[in-house]
Amino acid sequence: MTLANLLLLPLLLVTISTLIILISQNWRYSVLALALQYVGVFWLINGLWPLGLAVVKLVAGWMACAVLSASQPAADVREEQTSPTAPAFRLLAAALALALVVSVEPSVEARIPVNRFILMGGLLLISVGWLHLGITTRPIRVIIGLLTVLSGFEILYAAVETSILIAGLQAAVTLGLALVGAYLIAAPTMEETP
Amino acid sequence: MTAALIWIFLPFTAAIGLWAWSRHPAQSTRLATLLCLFLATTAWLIPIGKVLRLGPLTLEIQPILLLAGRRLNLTDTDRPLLIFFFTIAAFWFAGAQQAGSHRLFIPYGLAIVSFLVAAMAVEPLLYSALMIEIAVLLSVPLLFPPGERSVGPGLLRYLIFQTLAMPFILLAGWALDGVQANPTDTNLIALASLFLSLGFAFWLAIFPFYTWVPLLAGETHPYAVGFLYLLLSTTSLLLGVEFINAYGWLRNAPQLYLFLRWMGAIMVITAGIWSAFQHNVGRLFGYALIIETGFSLLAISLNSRLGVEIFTMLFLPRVIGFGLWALSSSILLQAGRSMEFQQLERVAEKWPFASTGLIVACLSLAGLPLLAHFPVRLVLLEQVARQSPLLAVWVLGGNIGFLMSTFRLLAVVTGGYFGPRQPGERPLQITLLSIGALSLVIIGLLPRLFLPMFTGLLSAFTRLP
Repeated sequence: MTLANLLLLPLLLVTISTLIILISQNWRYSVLALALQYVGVFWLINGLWPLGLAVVKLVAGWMACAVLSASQPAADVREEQTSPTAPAFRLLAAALALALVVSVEPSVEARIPVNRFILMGGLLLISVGWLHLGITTRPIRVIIGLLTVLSGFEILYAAVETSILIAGLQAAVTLGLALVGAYLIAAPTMEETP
Repeated sequence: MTAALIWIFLPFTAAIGLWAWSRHPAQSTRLATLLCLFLATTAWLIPIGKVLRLGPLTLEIQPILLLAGRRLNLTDTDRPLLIFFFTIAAFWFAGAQQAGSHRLFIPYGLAIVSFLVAAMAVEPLLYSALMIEIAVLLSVPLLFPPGERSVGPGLLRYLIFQTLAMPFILLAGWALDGVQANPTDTNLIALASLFLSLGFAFWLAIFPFYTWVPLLAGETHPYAVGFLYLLLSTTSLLLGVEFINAYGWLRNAPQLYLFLRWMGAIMVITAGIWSAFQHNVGRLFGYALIIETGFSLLAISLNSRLGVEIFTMLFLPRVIGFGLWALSSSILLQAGRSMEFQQLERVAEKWPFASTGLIVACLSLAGLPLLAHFPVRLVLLEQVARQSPLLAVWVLGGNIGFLMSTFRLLAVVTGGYFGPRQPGERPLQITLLSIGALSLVIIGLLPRLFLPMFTGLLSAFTRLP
């Protein structure tokens, strides 16, 4: 049995990591969950692409996580105080997004005929990532949200396109977004504006 | 030698060199301006894909560069586009120092220009989404230079919306290929239309995705945001026209033109109304940007030869108007004023040229008679009125909203009094501002002399009406 045949596991991995990203207020957990999410993304794409090409997603994703981690100020682990009900609200919103994914998936499967777990993984990342973008204003969380949405899109797009150049450019965009995130955090302390 | 090497890789390499040399802003500004002028002149003088004999020497610029199985294709018909892009870049770089731009404006600006030219050149067309995304990522240090205190919501929304455009355009590319293979699949046509609409709506900040424009314009340096929005919107508009040119079913769909007409009108109307209530010149600038995009969409929606000619003729007044506005407000910012109306009370006393430049740019963008925007807007509104008279009235109403805000700004900066004082601007700033303001007046007085020059841009789009 190959990795590609066990597609329920990466779907679960992607779901759990995305939920952690959505409710966590500690950037270390968020970046760790993002790294786990990229394992799931790699696993799902491996069901469509050869291992050598799919691993590009994993390497680029982990590099993005490393860049984001390195840019964080060590003292500021907990990002912001939120009300105790906030995680519950976010979980509820994620449940609604999941319901949307389940309802939309058959019509997407009709157009892109690949394993339904792969499609669900992609759609889940897009919807929860989009939800995340709608409820945050902090640069690191916006970048993580964008990376999540793009990961979901990359899974769907891998089902219709296998171009090496596209894979390379998408990896460059992933790394570029992480660098922009790191820059937005570090820029205020870099130098004076002339 | 290939065209992509000259007009894409050369400016990108120069951008890297200028980044290393950015501690010397005066020299890097001059170098970048000269390079852009050189590239624009080269595009003007040297044909692409034809052998040019210079005495014993022969020179031929090949149009196609193969890169990982894809093509960067700049043909002879793309020369007006190249001239246009590099002239805009030279124009903005020339004023960068006087506008007090950050030292990183030049290298990042040049890199962005090279990626946007690559977006226009790359084949298949859908790869342009990735090129534009890289340009957007490169623009972040330009909008939020090192040393700025905190990231504003406008920058984050800009990043989100521009990034979200990329997946939709890539998916649209996939769906469009499917439509080419099976033109009777109506579901796939609907899907391709949806993806394209959303992708371009994010790119062009079309209603309702334009909230980031006034926010960003209000929180960042006006010169950087003016340069960036002008280039990004121009590239996206030209790519949109290229999509219409490339796909027959899209070109022949009447719903497309109806959609563009309504979106353009809603952008002009809503932005015009909101601008009437603004108290910040930066945000007002943002609304002016939205109104301009709205007028471009209205021009394309006419679906006629005159419509696409109006579309190209809108570019010259826009470039000069935005440039003058950005330079004027940057000079006032340098003088320690914020962009709030309260801070601009009677600034015309101390900075008469910057204030005049700001007001003339505003009045021109509002479409006041005898200024550069007026002749094109008049023809455009006439044409829109022929197809939908009520819509033209609404668009005019939106324009009046912007005009009201301009008159309010005029009252604020003059304060009704001019004292006998020395102007606060430097001589070079006075020269640049005077050239900008006079250009808008001269173009307004002699539109037939200047505006038709830009119809050359249409040579790349052979299948348009």
